[in-house]
Amino acid sequence: MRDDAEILRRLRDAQISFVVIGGWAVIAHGHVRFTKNINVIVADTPAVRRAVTAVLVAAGATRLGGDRLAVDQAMPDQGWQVDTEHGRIDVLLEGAAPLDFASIEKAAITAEIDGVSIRVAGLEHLAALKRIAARPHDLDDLCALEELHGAPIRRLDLPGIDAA
Amino acid sequence: MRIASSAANGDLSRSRELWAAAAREAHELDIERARKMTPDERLAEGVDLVRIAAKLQAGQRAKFRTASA
Repeated sequence: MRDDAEILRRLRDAQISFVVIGGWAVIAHGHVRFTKNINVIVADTPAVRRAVTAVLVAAGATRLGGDRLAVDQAMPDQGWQVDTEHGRIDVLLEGAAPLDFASIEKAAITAEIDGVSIRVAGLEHLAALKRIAARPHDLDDLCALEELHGAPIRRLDLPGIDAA
Repeated sequence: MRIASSAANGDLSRSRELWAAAAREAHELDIERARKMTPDERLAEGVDLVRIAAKLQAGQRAKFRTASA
């Protein structure tokens, strides 16, 4: 049964620092919409990569095609997109500043899902991530968030994106 | 030690590629998963999602009211 809070609880119990991004973050900032999975971003260190993989393996994670995740599998640079016994989770690795983990975590807000206190990306970082992804629903999210919070949401300078 | 595989050059273009690849795989996984579910399972999952989202929203509204008070 889907239980996003349980996945987050497992990450927290494993002492993994993470920030929720994606659909749940959009909901936490006031725009309620459907989301099929939970997205988190983590620091990119060997220890974090190993710890995240261990948590997902313990939650019965499988990858696309049904391959079961193994604890000795190295997390790829695109992170893990897996199905677990508690639902879908995508774990992404941090980017360059200002989308590095420390900056995202510093600006994060706190929310709660089913008794689990979580850090959720702040509005400006969430908007920056949406601007980079730029899929139709990301742009819809941006419009909705700007309607709710006032436009424009302050734009973070994104090296390699804004100059491109 | 930080790997910084996607952030070493201080440029987000590599991250954008990686995150887009992750989103594509996630989408395919969502579709594959949904195909395997029965209509009842899909409905149950949707109901569960709405329940969690409502709790998350209620918590955020309460915090906003507290901050505004």
